[in-house]
Amino acid sequence: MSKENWIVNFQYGLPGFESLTSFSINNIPEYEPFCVFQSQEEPDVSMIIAEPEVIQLNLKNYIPSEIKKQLEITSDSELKLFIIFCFNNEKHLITANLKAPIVINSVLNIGQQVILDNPELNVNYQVVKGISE
Amino acid sequence: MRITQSMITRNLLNYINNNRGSMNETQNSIASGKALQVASDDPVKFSMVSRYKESQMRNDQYLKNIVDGMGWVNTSAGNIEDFYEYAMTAKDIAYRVADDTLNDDDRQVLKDRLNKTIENVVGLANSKYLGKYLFSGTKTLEEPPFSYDGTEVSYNGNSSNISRRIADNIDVNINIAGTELIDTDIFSNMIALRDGIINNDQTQLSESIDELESSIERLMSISTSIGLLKNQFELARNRLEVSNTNLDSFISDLEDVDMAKAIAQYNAEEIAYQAALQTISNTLNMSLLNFLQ
Amino acid sequence: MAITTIFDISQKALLNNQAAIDTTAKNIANVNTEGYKRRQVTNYNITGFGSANGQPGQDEFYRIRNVFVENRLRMEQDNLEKYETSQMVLENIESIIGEPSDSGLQNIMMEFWNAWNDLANDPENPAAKTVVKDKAVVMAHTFNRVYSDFRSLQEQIGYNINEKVDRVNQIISQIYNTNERLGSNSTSDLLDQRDILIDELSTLIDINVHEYENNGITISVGGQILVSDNYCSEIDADATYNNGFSDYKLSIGSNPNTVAINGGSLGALLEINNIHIPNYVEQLNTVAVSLANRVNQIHSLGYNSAGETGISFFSKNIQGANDFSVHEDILSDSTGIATAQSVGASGDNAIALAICDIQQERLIGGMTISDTYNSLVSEVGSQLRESTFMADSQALVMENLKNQRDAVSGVSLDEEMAKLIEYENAYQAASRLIQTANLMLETLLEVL
Repeated sequence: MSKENWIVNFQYGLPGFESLTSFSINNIPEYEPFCVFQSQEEPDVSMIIAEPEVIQLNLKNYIPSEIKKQLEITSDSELKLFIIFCFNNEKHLITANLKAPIVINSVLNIGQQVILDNPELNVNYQVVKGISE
Repeated sequence: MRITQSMITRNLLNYINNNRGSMNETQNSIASGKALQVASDDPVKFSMVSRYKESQMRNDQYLKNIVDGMGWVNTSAGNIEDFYEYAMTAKDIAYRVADDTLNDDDRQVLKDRLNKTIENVVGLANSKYLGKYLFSGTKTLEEPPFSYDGTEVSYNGNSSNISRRIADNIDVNINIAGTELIDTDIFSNMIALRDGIINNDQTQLSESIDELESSIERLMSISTSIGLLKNQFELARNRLEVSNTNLDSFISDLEDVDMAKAIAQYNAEEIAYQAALQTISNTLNMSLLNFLQ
Repeated sequence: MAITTIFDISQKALLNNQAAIDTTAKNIANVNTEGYKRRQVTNYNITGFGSANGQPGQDEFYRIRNVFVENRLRMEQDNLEKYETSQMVLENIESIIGEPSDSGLQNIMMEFWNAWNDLANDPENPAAKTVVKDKAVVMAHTFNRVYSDFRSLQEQIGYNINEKVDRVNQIISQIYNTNERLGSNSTSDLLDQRDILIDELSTLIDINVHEYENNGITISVGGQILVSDNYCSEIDADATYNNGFSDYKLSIGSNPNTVAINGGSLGALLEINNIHIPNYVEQLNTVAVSLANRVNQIHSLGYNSAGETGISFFSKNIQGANDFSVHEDILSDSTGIATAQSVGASGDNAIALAICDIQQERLIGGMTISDTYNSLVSEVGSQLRESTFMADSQALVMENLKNQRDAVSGVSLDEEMAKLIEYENAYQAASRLIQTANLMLETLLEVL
């Protein structure tokens, strides 16, 4: 899901793209249910994201309260989560980054890419195998 | 405008040639899986992708450095724990000796045990990791940094830092220089304890217990700083992994071709190409010349 | 009307139609001949006598051409050749540079810096020094190879330039000969021949063609005359060399000034040879020299395991990618590599780390070494992309012009066949008229 022309501010940028602080989240009909996560400062920098539920995962409980505090999230309805995908021509090589989801306060439109400590959260989670289970 | 024969033929030939060209392009992208192959495909994107790929290679090197640094740090941490154990042993001995009920033989035994402990601690301080002295500063090969002449422990290493690069322009020190160990007074305190036993000096003995306590505290704080170092490495490693994954996601978006789309496109073009071939022969056949004949 | 008059008329008709049938047959035969301009018999008064032998005169034929389209076509032709030639040569250059690839300089330079970082993690280890030396050697070979590939390519281009200049001169003298022959005897065939020569010439250089009423012609390039009705010259190609790279200057006849060739395949070759290749090589040289000098500068401050300092890692006084090489002392003994900032501490890796820093230093006009190299790769890529785009666009322009030209000059089989039928009928009619006249004469003679 995404709103019309949804722009989110990332105070610290993203790991690897520290200078980029403003991103848009857009629905593209052909990419349903994935969205395009695109830098406003460098439009060529874009990634495919989706809510974890799209691959039958729920990550809400993994988000530390510290992070929610930093993002001033007071209730679950304000919290929006996305995970970044890495596509490949070989289906079994398509992966999702569960270790570092994008956490957004959808009211204030601020966000962070949060690195989680839990060892079961893989940074290169193999998506296709996951879906078939 | 009159349609002449050469026009028809040339236009059809062009059509065929153009079809061939784009089919090759699609074939190439399927084979390599990448739409962006050389700089001339899209010079601006190519330049950007080059820069980010270099970032990834640097990140991989930093990860390597972190793994290397962690090996050193973990070994040091293990050794510091052993120091701690030895320090506790010495403190134990100190308590035992402080007990007046011991006779000379008992004290002798304890004194020998303590001597052994001192030797072990010096040996521990001269530990090596992958052939290099852990606690010698940067004099990692020159000579064992600690020597014990029976009276005191002296240090022959330096206090320089050994560093590992964990990010662009960010170096982290991985070593505990021998001077830090000297500064815990662990050696001097153990020697003082031994002298106290030899001299049967009660005052010295009870002071020793306190001194050993503070040595142990200083060892603990060294442990703590190692712990912080490990955390720093762990954070850096996570960040580098996520950086590289983000870069993979971004670059794959630029370069990778949607297979289903690419195959569909290729098949459509294959059909168009064959159709073009058909058309040429039909058109030529239909000229009046053939009709008349 | 006298019978003999009827004969005359019929014969004329026969001859006329015969000529028309011949012309049509020729048109049909030449339907696929490039450059063939459709002949058309002019209508002339059937009761007239025409020329002495009764055949329609040569000057009655005229070549139907749209002069304007022809000239446009020529101008665009030299552009097309220029872009296509540029495209071809630039593709060569892109493959010389060979990015992206594991054996390309981008990856190899990265591996060099990483080898230094591995050495910084393990400065006591001679094996790590060997790796640094090995990566440096690979890098040196790559610099050398790219440089010499550019040299070879330029030599090839020089050869091509000379070949094409020779061809230009050949064509010019053929045109001059044709001019001479045309002076006395103007035929469609000769004019077609000359047109073909001029078309080929326009693929080689950007010529200006000025035609006169009497089929006279003047061809010039860069403001200097190459050939006219009573003048014929030659192009000379002269190469000067700078650091082994050639610069070609073309001049015409006795005029010592360089003639500017801006189009055709020669125009493309000259531009790439004289401007682009030296530019690319200079950028490559800048990368090589900056890298070598900076590494040497830092390395010589450091100490190696033998306690020596002031050591060069790369050869001294490197001038460019051609002589880029690892210092012979390091080549023969890699343990001579310096890693420490002071003596007597084997674990001192400060100099090795400082050398790793070089990859982030903005050494060349505010850019890092790899930025500078990447911009060379991008520049080649951009120029190739532009040439390809221009060649494709230009091809479309040519298509349109050719279609326009063919509409006027080309042969349509259908039309010719229709005409043939018409002439056949007329011929039949004419020959029947003769038969009738014959019959009439015979009858008359019999009667007599």
